[in-house]
Amino acid sequence: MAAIAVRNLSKEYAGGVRALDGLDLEVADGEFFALLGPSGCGKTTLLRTIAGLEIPTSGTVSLGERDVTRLPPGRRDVAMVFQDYALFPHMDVADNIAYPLRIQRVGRQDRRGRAAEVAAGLGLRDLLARRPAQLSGGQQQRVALARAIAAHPAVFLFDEPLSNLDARLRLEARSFLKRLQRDLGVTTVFVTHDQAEALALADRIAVMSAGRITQIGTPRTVFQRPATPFVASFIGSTPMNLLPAVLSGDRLTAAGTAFPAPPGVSGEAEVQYGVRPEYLDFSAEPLPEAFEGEVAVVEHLGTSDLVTLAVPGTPGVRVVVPEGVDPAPGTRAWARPHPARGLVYESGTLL
Amino acid sequence: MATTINEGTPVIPTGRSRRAKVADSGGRLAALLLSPTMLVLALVIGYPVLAGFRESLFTRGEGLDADGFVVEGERFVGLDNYAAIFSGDRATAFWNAFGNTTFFTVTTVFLETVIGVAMALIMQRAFRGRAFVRASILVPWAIPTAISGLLWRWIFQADGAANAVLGTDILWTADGPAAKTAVIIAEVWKTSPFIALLVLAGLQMIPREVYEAAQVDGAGALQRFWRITLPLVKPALLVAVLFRMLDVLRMFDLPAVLVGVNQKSVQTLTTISWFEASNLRYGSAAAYATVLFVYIAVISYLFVKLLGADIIGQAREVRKKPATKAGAKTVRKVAA
Repeated sequence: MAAIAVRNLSKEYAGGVRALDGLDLEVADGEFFALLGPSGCGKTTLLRTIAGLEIPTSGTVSLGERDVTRLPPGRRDVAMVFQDYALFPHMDVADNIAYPLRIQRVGRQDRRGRAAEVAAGLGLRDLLARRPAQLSGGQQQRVALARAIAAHPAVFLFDEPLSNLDARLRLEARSFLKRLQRDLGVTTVFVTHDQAEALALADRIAVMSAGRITQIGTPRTVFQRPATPFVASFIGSTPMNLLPAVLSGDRLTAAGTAFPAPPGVSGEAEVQYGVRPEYLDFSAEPLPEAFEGEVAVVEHLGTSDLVTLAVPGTPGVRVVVPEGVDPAPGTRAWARPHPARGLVYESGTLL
Repeated sequence: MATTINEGTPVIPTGRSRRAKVADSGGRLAALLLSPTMLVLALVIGYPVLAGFRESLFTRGEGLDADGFVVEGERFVGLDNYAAIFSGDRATAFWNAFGNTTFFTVTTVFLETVIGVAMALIMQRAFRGRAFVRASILVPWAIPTAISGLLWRWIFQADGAANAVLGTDILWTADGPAAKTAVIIAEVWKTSPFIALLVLAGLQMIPREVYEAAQVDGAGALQRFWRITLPLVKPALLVAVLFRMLDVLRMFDLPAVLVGVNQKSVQTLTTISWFEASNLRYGSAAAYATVLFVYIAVISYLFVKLLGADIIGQAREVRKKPATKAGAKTVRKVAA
């Protein structure tokens, strides 16, 4: 087990692309940590730099007490699960799992025994003699995990470990992964572009954009108080409403509607007002301090509907409506934000 | 259990016969659709092989009749031509050619494989000027063999580049071990790129992540080569080696141009057959060719069997799957 410390890390590729830009990060011992961001934000580069597969242009990486910046990947005591699992196609499952042990010159008997033990823990007991090509995606993913576990590393690094699974399997694998990490207690960093995955799995999340960390926090903090409009729009399965607004005193005016500003926010400024679709009350009857518009789109989410109101002066206001209301497109409707749940950004920072 | 049998037994025969019928008519249609190909193959491969074999059982224009005239037409001699090759007056020449052919095959294919794999590893690397390196590695393969034979003869002549560089006075293109060496060098130079090209194609099929996984697990460069690269590139490499073996066993133009036909040290089965034919001993030439044909067939069969070269691997894979399924079904039926 080891904590990870990244100091002032930069990575510039030939051709001047700056994938990481003076990045600092601390991951505590035993923590399950997510690197979240859109593609091209540098999250995978950061993970690969921690693994040692990329050499940083400047800055340092430490695992525990050791500065490993110049160490090759094999001597860092890390194990990695790749997006496509990177199983060795010419070896059976047992040999795949035992490969790190073979490199560590563990004897054949011992090696097979430990591989079988780890495999049994992951429900792979009956598959030991199969080749990777004869496994389903979920099984391949577990073999990749087993290989990482068998290596007994100080740190696990997962690169989009769930992205190649179909939707249902992904949910199962998610719970499985979370329980596994808690049981093993090994420091784990995983990369994902899926905000739901990050929220579900991680103890803490770093949201990245353009080679920098925009916000670090627990899933709850990142979800409830996103530090920037970028984080706000990235986190949450239904995108947050971000509307241009004017703050005057402790009242806000957006799209011609005036309503109270969130507690503790006051001043005189041009701002951006953000509110999640879940935190708006929908009504087919007029409501005070509510956005009024025509129902443009109704998307069924299962237990609720996502309704987009065409409100003049906005790109549209999205509201989550509980099941049974069934608003008809083309009718007029009102959506009132919960005052305490609104977020106000002035020039990109949360007030 | 009893119910399974009662329900199961009447269904099985009808199902089976219907399936058999479908397979039968499908087979007939397949045979019909394949017949043009079969016909062409029979004409361009089957007929020449058989005609060559027939020729090897005859002799013509060799004997004189009682009046001292050359006998016209062919005369059936049975296996006389073969007897002459293996133990008769041509046995020494034959076994020499056979030995040379085998020797060239073993040495050149071994050297080509080592050099070709090394070239492929170099070509796969990303570096500045890679396109240039790739192109220049492939140039020898693109030159016609007869031309490269001339080129090497020029290099290997008594006052040529080879002697100048080595500071020796070896008569490379005369006869003896030096001529063998010259042929091997020229052949390896010319055909390593072929192996390199096929191996490169194999290397590019290996995902980069697999190497990285091995690297994270702590495998060094040598371990990665022996445990990851080589096993994964093996199918491509075996195909390349097999093709090269078949080529070298039939080697003709390079020794013929570089040293000359009927030179003991570089005489191969093909050059000896050609020499016989150009001296109008067609029966004997055909016998040599037939022996070579059988030799090549045996070698390729052993190669495919022993090393499992997967020449037609995918077709076999597809055929295996329904077979195992059917097998599983039978087992289940038996169990019921």
